Amino acid sequence: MIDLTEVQSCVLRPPGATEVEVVFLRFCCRERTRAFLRVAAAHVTSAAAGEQRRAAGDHRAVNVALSAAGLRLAGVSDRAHEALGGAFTRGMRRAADRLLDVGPSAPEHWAPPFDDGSAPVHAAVLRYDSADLGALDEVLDSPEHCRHGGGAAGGQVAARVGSWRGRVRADRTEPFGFVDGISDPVVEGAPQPLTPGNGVWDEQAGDWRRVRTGELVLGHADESGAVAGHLGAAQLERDGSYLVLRKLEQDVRGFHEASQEWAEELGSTRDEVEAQLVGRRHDGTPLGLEQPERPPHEREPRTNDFLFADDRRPRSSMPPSSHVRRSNPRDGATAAKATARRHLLFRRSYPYEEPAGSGAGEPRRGLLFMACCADVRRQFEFVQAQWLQDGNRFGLGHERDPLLGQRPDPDDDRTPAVEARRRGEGLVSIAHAQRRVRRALSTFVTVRGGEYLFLPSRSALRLVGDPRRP
Amino acid sequence: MVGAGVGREDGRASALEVLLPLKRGGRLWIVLWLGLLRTVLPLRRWAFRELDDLRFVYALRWSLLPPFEPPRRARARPLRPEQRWHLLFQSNFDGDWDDYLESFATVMPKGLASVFWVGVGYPGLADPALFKAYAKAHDHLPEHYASAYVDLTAGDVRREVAERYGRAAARAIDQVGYADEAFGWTNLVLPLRRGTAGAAVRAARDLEPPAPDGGGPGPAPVLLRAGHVHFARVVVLRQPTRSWLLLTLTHDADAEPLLHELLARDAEAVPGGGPPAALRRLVALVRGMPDPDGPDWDGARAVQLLLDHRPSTRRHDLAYCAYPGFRVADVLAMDAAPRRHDRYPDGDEVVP
Repeated sequence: MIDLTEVQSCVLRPPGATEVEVVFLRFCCRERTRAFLRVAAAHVTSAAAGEQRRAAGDHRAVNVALSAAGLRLAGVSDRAHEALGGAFTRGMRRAADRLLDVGPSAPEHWAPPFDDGSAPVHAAVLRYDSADLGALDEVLDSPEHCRHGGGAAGGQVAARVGSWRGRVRADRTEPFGFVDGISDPVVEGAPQPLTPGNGVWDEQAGDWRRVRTGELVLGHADESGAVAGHLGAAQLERDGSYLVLRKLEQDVRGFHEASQEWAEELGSTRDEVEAQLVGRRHDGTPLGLEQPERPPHEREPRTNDFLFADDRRPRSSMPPSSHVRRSNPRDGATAAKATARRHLLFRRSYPYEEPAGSGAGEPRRGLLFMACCADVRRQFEFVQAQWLQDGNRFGLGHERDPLLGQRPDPDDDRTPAVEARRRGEGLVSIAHAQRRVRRALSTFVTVRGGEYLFLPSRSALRLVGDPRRP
Repeated sequence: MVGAGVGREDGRASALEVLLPLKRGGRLWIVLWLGLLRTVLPLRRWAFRELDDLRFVYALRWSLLPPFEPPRRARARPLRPEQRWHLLFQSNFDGDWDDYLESFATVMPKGLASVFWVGVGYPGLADPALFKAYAKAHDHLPEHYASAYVDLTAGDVRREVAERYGRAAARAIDQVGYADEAFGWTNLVLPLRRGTAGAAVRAARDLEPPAPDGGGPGPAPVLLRAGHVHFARVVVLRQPTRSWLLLTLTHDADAEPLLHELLARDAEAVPGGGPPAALRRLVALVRGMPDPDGPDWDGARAVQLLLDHRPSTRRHDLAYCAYPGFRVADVLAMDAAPRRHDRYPDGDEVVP
């Protein structure tokens, strides 16, 4: 059973807040890191406290996450550090080849604080709906917790090295214009009710069931029956979760223009082409479940209760190449029933919008992609590498995800780009007039930075922050 | 990855080489069980039916290897690992070894457990992380690995087969994935001369031509030049008392003419093809092999010496391939002119 007073509030369910600020921190020394974590243990919002506030319509919350570098600086023993997941300790930059963060998305093009010149980020504070940081701010600025007497010595300072701000859009869409956040798996022991589609399809029972807790929260049994987490780091990991954080810039104009061009070629509409690329209509309706016979006010646009193979639930006709189906293939086929539940992501994302670099022109839009999981490699990296940046598992050859796929420029006629298109890496499929049609499209999403973080339980924050530890 | 073709990966293809020492009695179980699986189709379906759905396995094989160092006394105990019989699991697949083992353990637990349970220290499949750690601990990184079609996955080939020859042909290859039409596997377990393990590593890496200066494709690796080899790997296995060279070819033609051709082509100078006679220098490190530059060198004799080192237990195996009956030339021809796919795979084919 999950101890709701231990788990941080953003782990078990989406925060529900209208806006988020992610403040990145770099500490100067072990003493200040530990002091910060002690304060954080008392100040972070637990799932229990979050639920109480939520009942009163208040979504303010503060969560604290640490990077592998932050844990090491805090003096987590080598043994426990080694025991943590390899993907987490290596970090997101070093996974660039596997994640296909290449070309404009390559780490050398990332923005601060994740650019080449910056030292590693140690921690991130997630502040929902402008919650008060009070004591956390004080400990960063106070001279008394620092070996360097306030951070001036040796050129090192404890610093807020950057922040990202996200805000829910009025119509709850992401920047491409699709209603987002419809599908969100619920684990056993989480406070929210299970709604159809937001769990694992139990073939024997013929119904949805909650996901085993260990797929999200460490120290609990997962879908394989084993206890999630790493031997040697059980105390640190229990009731914690890994947080994948990525800033994804979306080329909104490019996406709409490409869809429009393709629609004109096919004699279709832009909305139809975009819906085929995504797998849902703009209002969230899965393809094939549009309910045209019902009057508009009786339709259920945001339904998530569908499958691809089993007749005991409505069957969606979204093509295998669509983003929604590739991200979560449900019961796509024989072997998928067994494997899909081991690759779930628990998304906590927010859209963002910021002024263009020069201050003029269109603002930059995108998504602060945040997802919790128990195993960065098995869940996030697998989905990114095997399902989104490669089509083989879906019978689509080298074809990449329509939204997140990294593709060569369709107008590039140099040999590598031509070769990539020949292999199918630059092509995208949609279903049109009962046929699969393919076309070269450009890249619509560029990674601007990111890191793997760990959201410890409150006990683990106290443990790591304990000044008496060696 | 050390470099193209050196190590675990070559293009889309990756290698896994798991060598498990067996418990007492494990040898008998492997002989019986692999024999049963080979001959009884329903049993094979029970164990490994999902292999065809996975799309990322080109070819794999379980086989039995005799002890590297037979115990001096028949009832000696405890046995050291090198004194035990071994199960050799070799796989050619697309993707990452961690994902591969995870998928295997999740999708085919019965089949996998029925073969691996006789391994010393087998932790079971209840915790996939423990199983992955176990398999990884017994995995040997090849010094050289090469695939004849670096851009293709097994899924691509099967899809092309379905496009060209119809769905009936695609279903037919599901049925014969383990049969005689499957690829040939030649596994040579070669004892190295003492103190030559380092030289063998260097020689094995020379089998891969250096990458061309201007980028783009270079000449084929030595072991692929005959045009009949799908996958080739060389593992240098360091045992406490002796080092061994495991040379594995997954191929179309018979082994003997293939090895003749490989040794003959190895002697030819190929522009940009790396140091000449790389294969001869490698096999010259094998105990009992004549000097390739000396007067005693005889190609036919060398091939015979190599073939003599096929394990006596090579018949006790179970091999699978995703597109049996398709030779290297067929696959390359399909890759050169792929059919335009104007249909999605059927629902039952779409397997993440």
